[in-house]
Amino acid sequence: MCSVDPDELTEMVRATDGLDITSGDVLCRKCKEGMAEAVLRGKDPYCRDCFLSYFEHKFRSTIGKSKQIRQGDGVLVAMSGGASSTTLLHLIHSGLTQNSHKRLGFKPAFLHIDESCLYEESDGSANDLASKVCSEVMSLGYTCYVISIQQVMATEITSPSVYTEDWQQTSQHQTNNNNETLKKQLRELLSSCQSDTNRHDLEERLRTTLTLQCAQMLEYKKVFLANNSTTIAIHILSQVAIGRGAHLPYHVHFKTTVEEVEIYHPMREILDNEIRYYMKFHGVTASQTSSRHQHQGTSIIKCTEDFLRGLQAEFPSTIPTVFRTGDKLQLSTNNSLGNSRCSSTLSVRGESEVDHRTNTEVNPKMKLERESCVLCKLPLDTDQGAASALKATQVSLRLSQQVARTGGSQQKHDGKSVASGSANVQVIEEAVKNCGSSKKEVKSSCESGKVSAIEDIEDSCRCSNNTGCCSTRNTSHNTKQDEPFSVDIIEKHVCYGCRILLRDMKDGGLLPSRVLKAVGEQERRSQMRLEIQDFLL
Amino acid sequence: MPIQCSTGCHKNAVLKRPKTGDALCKDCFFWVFEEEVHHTITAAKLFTPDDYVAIAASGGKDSTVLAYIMKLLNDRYNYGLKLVLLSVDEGITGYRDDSLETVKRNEQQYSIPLKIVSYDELYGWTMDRIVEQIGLKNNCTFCGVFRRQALDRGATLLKVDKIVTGHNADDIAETVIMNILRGDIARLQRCTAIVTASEGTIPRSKPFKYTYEKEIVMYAYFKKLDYFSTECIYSPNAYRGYARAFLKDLEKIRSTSIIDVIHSGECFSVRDGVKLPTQGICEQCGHVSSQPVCKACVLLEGLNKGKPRLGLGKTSKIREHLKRNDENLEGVVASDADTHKINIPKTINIKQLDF
Ligand SMILES: [Zn+2]
Ligand SMILES: [Zn+2]
Ligand SMILES: [Zn+2]
Repeated sequence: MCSVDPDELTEMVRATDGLDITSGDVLCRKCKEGMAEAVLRGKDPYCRDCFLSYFEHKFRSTIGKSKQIRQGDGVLVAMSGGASSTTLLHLIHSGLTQNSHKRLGFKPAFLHIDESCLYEESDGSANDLASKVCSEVMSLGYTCYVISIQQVMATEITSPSVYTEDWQQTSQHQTNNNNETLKKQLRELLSSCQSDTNRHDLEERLRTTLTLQCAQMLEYKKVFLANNSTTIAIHILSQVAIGRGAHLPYHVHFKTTVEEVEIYHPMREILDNEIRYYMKFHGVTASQTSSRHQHQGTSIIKCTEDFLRGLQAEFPSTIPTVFRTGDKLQLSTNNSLGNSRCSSTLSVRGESEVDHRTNTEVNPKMKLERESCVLCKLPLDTDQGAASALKATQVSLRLSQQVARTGGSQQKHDGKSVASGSANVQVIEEAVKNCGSSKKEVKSSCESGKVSAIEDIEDSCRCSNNTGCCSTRNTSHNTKQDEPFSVDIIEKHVCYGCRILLRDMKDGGLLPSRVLKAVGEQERRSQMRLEIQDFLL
Repeated sequence: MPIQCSTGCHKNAVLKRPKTGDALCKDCFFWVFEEEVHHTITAAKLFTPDDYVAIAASGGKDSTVLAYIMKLLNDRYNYGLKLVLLSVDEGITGYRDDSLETVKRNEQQYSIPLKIVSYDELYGWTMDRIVEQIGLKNNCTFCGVFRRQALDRGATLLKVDKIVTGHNADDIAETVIMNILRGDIARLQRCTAIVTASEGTIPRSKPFKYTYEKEIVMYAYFKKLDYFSTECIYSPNAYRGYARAFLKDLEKIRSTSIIDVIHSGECFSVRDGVKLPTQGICEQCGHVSSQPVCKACVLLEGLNKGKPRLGLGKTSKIREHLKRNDENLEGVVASDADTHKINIPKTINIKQLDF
């Protein structure tokens, strides 16, 4: 069958050879006076002044039109030291120091996450980065906080320290003198990932988690991330590729809220070639120039970036188009996203609408609140109904590993009706659920009667009719290494994308202890819900 | 040392499933493949007993395997369906001749009745004659628009309740990526729906939504199914080509990429306030259309007036207009794209299967 799209009048407009302004006699398209020094969209010449005012206007209008950032608001700006965040620092600085009515009025502080422990560099250049980034921020008169990435593994949330030259000798590292242990745990966790894709993905989750935690510790309600239009577009496609499409709005929208922290993307409308011009004209250099932060190896994220940049070079509207596509999506507020879509936009016949609803095998009473993924903190996207990619995958795994022999006989006697057909599916699904337990040996530790955290919780819940022993129990659980949660249990509380991570690493016990603690809490809540569900209206 | 089948049936495995990586023997693979399609059909409740279902049959591997398996599952599980093969003859010399022969053989082999509808019969034009008029550049537009309606018209003619098509998981993942690349939000939203239907049209579904293309080929190969392998002799579209290449690269890195992309697609929800094309009914032919006059009618009018390009020009004006409206809402980045004059279609022939 010809797969060509019939409405395909789409012409992908190829890049022209690109406007050459090196001769020095090309005039700015805006003021028609100044000599062009920048070329945007491959063909539009701008002089330095017109470019800079265009650029700054774009930045300010992104913030301004949202009306979300008010005078005196405290904002924590995540500062990696790359081109984007360095530019953001300068834009904020010039916006705050301007003497006009256009002056920005919020109060920024900066946060740098020191990731030196992820990179084995004996020459200490990694440490240089943290001090370079932080001193630059401080030199402009702002507070710069710094925290090491390994703190994400700590049992207790650590507050980041204000940068000083000897920050590593102070607070966090002293109080938690297990810094080396945390480093080791983090490295162990990352090296348990079998693929580059998962390692990069996990690093990103941890980075975000830590940023959120810092904002909470420092009591900042607002966080700025410096992701620009280009990096966001790449993100859109790579997140789709790794099954995280449900969470696109969190990476694209100007404002999103995660765990009561508002996350903003003030650079979202700026392309990275524009950032390069800005830095050049202002003589700004990024502290972090190496590709250390970028993704090496054969990860999906890297593959997506190469693909999109390649396409962009040929077709200059690619990245803006991808960005706009992502921007038009929202987080589904419905539990069963697929179903709501069917009924609202497709007006499927009444009959199938009902069918879809009864399909959802999760009891609606069980879904009083929308759970968040314990790992990435974003809403769970694993409740897509019986006809979904997730279910189909589970059925595939189940079928091709166990059922076949019974299936052979089934072929003969299972000749009833469509109804019996779906009953059969039910059986399979039951089997899928159970198969999890028989398949994974980790689970056996729970079943073989060893004292496990889950049993602890159940015990404590059973006796909870008198006092709040649950909560006391809970805190005692924090002690590292006694949470033998099986992958199957953790899996219930993570999103589709994080399940891929989890399955890859095999030992869920390597996860940060606070993540495991969250598993315990959510597990207990769902137990409670089970107990009271018959009384909920 | 031969590898044992991973189901524990004690037979030697002959293949490694692309979808799960499991090694399976031939019989277990057949069984697993069939059960999975059955699961999709029952989980999504695609049919009700006594439905009259048209199988879109092109003679290609997807639709041949679909016809075979629909017949098989209908018998095995007593779906109670009445099946019919529905083929479209575009009138491309040498392209359909062989594939239609295949479909005719399938009619015999699976004893499912066959109905062929031709462009000539439905529109008064064969593709060969259209190519004479329009040249090779835009003919795929004509071909596709006409084919979609042809399937609907043929289905209406037969008074069927439902249409099934052979679109597989690879096709759907590819379409998700393609729609992101070209910014087609309406189709991005719809392309992962297993059933597409709108008021007054015959619902279409994709029983192979979660089936990998490679497994369809494997199934056809080991079952020795008779199919005709062909590509459209005219040019493929650029976006789909890039999307396909990208997906292949992803698959090399992670074999579950196809299903992961579909999962992402299933989770999309369009932001409130984003305008999606509204659907109405074509003033001329009564088929569902997002425009007063449907694409097929516009193209047909151009052809009949001896100005075949008219149809293309006219709709793109409408699109330009829509695009301007859109961009007023979009802000700065949107105007960037605008200056590139990329021709993003905002009008969609809603009734179609949205590829
Ligand atoms: Zn997650
Ligand atoms: Zn064609
Ligand atoms: Zn019409």
